[in-house]
Amino acid sequence: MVAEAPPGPRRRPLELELAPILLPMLSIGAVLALWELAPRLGWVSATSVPPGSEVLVEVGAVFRDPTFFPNLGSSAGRWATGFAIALAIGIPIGIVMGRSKVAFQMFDPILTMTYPVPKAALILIFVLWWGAGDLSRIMIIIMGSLIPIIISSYHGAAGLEPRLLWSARALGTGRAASMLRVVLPGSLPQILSGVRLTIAISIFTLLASELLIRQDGIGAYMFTNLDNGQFLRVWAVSVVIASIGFLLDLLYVLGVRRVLPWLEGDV
Amino acid sequence: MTTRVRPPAGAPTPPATGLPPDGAPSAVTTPGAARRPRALTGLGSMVLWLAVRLYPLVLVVVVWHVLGVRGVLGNQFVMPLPGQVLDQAVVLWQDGTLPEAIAVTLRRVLTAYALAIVVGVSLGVAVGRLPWVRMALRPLMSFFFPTPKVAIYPALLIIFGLGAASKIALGFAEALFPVLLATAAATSQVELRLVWSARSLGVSERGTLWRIVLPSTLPGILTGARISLIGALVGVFLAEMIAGSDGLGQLMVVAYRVLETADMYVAVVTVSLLGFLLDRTFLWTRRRLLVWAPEGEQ
Repeated sequence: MVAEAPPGPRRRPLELELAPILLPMLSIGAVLALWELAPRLGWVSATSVPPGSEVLVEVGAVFRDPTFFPNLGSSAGRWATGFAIALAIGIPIGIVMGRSKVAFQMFDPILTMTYPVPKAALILIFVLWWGAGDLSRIMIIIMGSLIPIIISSYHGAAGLEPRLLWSARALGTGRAASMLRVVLPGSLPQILSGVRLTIAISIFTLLASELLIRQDGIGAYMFTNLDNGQFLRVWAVSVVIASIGFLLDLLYVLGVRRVLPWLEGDV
Repeated sequence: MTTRVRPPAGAPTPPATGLPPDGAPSAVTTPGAARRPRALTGLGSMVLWLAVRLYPLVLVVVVWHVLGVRGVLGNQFVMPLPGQVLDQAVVLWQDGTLPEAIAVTLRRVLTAYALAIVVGVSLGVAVGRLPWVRMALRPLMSFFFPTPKVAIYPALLIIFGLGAASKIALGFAEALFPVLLATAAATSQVELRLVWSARSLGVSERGTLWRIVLPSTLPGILTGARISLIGALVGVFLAEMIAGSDGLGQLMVVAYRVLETADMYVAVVTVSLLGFLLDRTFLWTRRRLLVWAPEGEQ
């Protein structure tokens, strides 16, 4: 750490102020340097692991590939449809489970049983039932997203401060209205962090199902390139997908902060 | 049946972990003040206990059978009846295919999981306890955590080849982050007074790690470790489906290619049962490890 100016009398030492900026840059720099140098110095084969700079250049080529954006678009469309349907079904089920003992006992064993099922694997079975069209591929995203959404909504509704509900009821809010006006907003923090988790899970399911059923979509695009031995292209698409996952997560967090500034704690 | 204590009203809600509410005796974890099961006589409570646990299984089998007989989702080629799948499972078990596949997959899952736990807990403790490690690793963690790990599977294939190593690597990648983040979060919130007390009682700096930090963060670590376990299973199974020469995933994908539909169902049901049993075993161990903690009761 460089300390150019002598630290002022009442200021923290310069290292302490710079560390939060320098250390992250250092670690990212180290990873990028390793990725650049390992193939160039012959530690790994440059055809299977191309240096970082070449991959970044190839990202540009991916964006210029006319087949890339249609594939990305069809993936995004299916993902958004499946995700929206999962939210519309999952949040109400989770909230009702959190507030009703009967509903809880009805759904909980089903959740416990289906939780460890690898959802992406079901795509092959869905294809038997519904063919390799959009229906199978949207269903698989719903399956992948539903459980984490239900569970986080359940935790939110079950952990609701009961006094809030009593006050609302005492002030004359009806049963249905208090669900909408007390329980739903009260469970929102948990639901929102559950949605964040689900975004990552559902993209995983999307990609996995697309690579098993190579119709179209970004997963199919990547794995077809892998089968053709286009390793440089594969690395570039990996970088693009990883960045999309990261950006979606970032945008979601920023968006929630923006729309719901009263929310406390982490999303 | 253990009695369960709910945290008092107003206690901070647990973070959304995406985990089901600890299944097994969950009939009692129902929210709400002191709802307890009615004291039933021995036989009655046994029947109820079994009914609550078996009903989803019975439900699935019955619905499956009815759908199959009616042909709602297709004929018995695309949807064989539960009995036919069971027969096929027996055949595959007797000719040795199924036990072999289970052994291969299980070995990979446990290897990937063990690696993920060792790396995740040690890195997590470092991230949680040492500010400079946290600052250095945060950007990398926040980039790779939301990334769908299948996206890097081609890279893993290229680096590790088509053998077992690339499958273990994907299982590891899937399993690492839940336990890593849970450990980091838990260790960064250790009650400082515990550490101070231990230090003033003569525990060495290093000793506090083993005797204070790790025990007091165990509940948090284990919550992440539970997600990691299923992550390892999903990662390995998927990797076997993509590029496998053995294991349950390969059984599934080969059955799909040659249209042995009953075999596909055998593979899916087996891997689901495997996940279910691993999860149950984990929860059982966790209860034994945490008998002293309020979380252990939950």
